[in-house]
Amino acid sequence: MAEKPEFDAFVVARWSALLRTAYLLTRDEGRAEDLVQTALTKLWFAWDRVEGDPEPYVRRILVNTHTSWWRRRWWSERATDRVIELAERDAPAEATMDLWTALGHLPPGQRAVVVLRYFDDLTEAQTAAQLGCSVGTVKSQHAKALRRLRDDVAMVTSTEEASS
Amino acid sequence: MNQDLITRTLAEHATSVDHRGPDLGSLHARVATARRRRHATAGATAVGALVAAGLTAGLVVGGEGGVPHPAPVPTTPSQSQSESVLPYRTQAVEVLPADDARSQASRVEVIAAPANDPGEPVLEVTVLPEAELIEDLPYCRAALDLWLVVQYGGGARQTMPCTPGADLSPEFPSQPFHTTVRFSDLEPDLPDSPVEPVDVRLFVTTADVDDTPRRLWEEGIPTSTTAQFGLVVHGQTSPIVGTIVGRPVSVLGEFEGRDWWFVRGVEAPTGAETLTVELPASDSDRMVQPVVHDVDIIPPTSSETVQISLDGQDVDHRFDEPRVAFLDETTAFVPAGGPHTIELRLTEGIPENVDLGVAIFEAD
Repeated sequence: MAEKPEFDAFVVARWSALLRTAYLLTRDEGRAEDLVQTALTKLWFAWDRVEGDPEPYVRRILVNTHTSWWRRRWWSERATDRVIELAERDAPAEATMDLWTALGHLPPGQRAVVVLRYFDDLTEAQTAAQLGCSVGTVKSQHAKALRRLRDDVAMVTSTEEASS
Repeated sequence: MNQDLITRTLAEHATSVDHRGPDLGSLHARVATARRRRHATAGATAVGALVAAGLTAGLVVGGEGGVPHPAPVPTTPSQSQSESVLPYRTQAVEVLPADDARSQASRVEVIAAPANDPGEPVLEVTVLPEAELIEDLPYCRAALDLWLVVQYGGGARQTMPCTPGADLSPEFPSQPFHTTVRFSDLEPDLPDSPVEPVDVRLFVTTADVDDTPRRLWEEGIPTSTTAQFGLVVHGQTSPIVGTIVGRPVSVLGEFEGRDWWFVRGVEAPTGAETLTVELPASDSDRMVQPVVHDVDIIPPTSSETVQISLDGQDVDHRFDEPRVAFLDETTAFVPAGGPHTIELRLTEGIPENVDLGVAIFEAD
């Protein structure tokens, strides 16, 4: 394999940060690592053509690849089914639910917006650039995500229990 | 919603992978594999160019109205689509349905519906997907603390929560059109490929698959269960009217009570980053669906790497709710009228490794 020491240095330096984001997107250590490696493999081929900081480029690949895998049902996530299930659960079972669980119920696009905004601390404009969509889309997805989290039965129950 | 709580929750959970350091060796191995695949594809492409030249010559002799219909791509049963050979195209290639394709169209029907025996937590079946286009819908009616895991012979799997009110005979979902085989390992066979039986293993587990490592799922299989679960396999034997960048296209799809007929496909020249298609004025609504073959992605064909613009305006479907059985999310709806100019633009991937095409469907 052709040597690309700068690429290797980038991987070593940014691995942990990328893996954290990937984990928040996938919620599975193995999948997160797979996702990061897939994104970095794509970056390796594009390395000589990337101008400036490669991190935004690889992060965009990361998010898009995750969405792609999710939609292909390559992995097991099926957020819409899960939400239906939650709505049918009895209240006592919800006591164990928390925000982390509720975040897992978000569709990949909304989850990506939440992760980029609240974990990576990106602005709306930066998030839009990362996701390759408009700022308006980020705003609407952000609002939908927060509404969905709020309406999630798990969160409703947790909130009710906390206040009682 | 407390936004500080979101920030805190994400930060706390993110650190749980901090023990996994960079694995450069594994990454280099992955890159090396991808490079080998690319070299293999490049070599195959050269052969493909010769094959394409031969096909074109044949078409001239055959004289099918001067419009080439790409022949099925040569393949073998063990060959994944990502490794398949696509003809090299120096210019865009049109794919049109045969004149009698509509008269041969059929609707979706159930071709298999295996279910577990009462009390049995595991079901192992072999399904022969004989129809041209396949969709499998698992179901599980049970208490809410069970998950259904479906494992396919090819290594793919899917999971779903069991619910007390689950439909035991799930109907084929309404969809705009169905261009992709969805059974087994999600790698579609091409037309005329031999029909291969697919082993499927289904089991219920008490393990929460969202939060439990895959290797522990089986430990949650109960000794017996009241769960009713199984798989309904739908198939459609409508004629495959052609392949677009290696993917089969059926002549008929159904969506929200309307029939959608495949009317035209276009394959971009090999290596093209954009594909522009002029749609003439029409009294019918139309759907435009990108079709992508990417040697970088296994399984391939993730059309979210394509941006569609309609008359210069980008169509943004990236964040729509997932539409069941509708794999290609970046789809443009084109209302009756026109004419229109459609442009597909690759937004991710390396053009020389991506084959780009489009399928156009028209409503009755």
